[in-house]
Amino acid sequence: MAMLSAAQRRQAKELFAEHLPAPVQVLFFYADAYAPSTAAARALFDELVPLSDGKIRVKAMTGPEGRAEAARYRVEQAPALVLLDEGGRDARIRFYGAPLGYELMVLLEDLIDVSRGATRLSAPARALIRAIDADVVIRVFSSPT
Amino acid sequence: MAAMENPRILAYAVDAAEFPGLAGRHGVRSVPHTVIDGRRQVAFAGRYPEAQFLAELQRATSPPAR
Repeated sequence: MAMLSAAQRRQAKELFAEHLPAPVQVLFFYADAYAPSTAAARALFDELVPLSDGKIRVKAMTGPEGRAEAARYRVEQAPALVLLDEGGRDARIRFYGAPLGYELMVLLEDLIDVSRGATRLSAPARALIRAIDADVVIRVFSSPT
Repeated sequence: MAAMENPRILAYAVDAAEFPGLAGRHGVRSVPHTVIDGRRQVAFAGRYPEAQFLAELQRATSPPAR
């Protein structure tokens, strides 16, 4: 079953062509290869990667090696996605589950931000965020439908 | 996006239906629902525009009043 509609596929292709200057690495952590959410996330990237002209690179991780890497990236659930820039630097953005529905747009925007190495936040917002001197964890719960 | 601007911030986008235990532990009753754990915990329901989100982020991270 296709994860992307024809319109989503067209939109992703256009966004990637215009706004994805550098490769982005996606670490894909999974525990159960047959879980529906694992299959959905894998199928999603099977469709997204060819639309990115090879700029989105997915590395699947599971088993003991995957668990060790997951701990390093503070990933406690699976399936999970971790976004890294071209140089392997952690963008500190994780997705738990397959980002479908509304979350697909969030994923596409985050991939673009990581590729560009810059967010779309206003200058005052960036200054305010950069001034934060406490450890912060932000969790945004949503639903794919 | 905030996580990219400050290395002390880590951001998770969670499918609440796929991870009901995690959602339950964070008091999620509807989506979208955001929980910010900083110096204190701040949570809100719905999607906030940038200015309002930043206000909540500041509320979660401002130093305690003396």
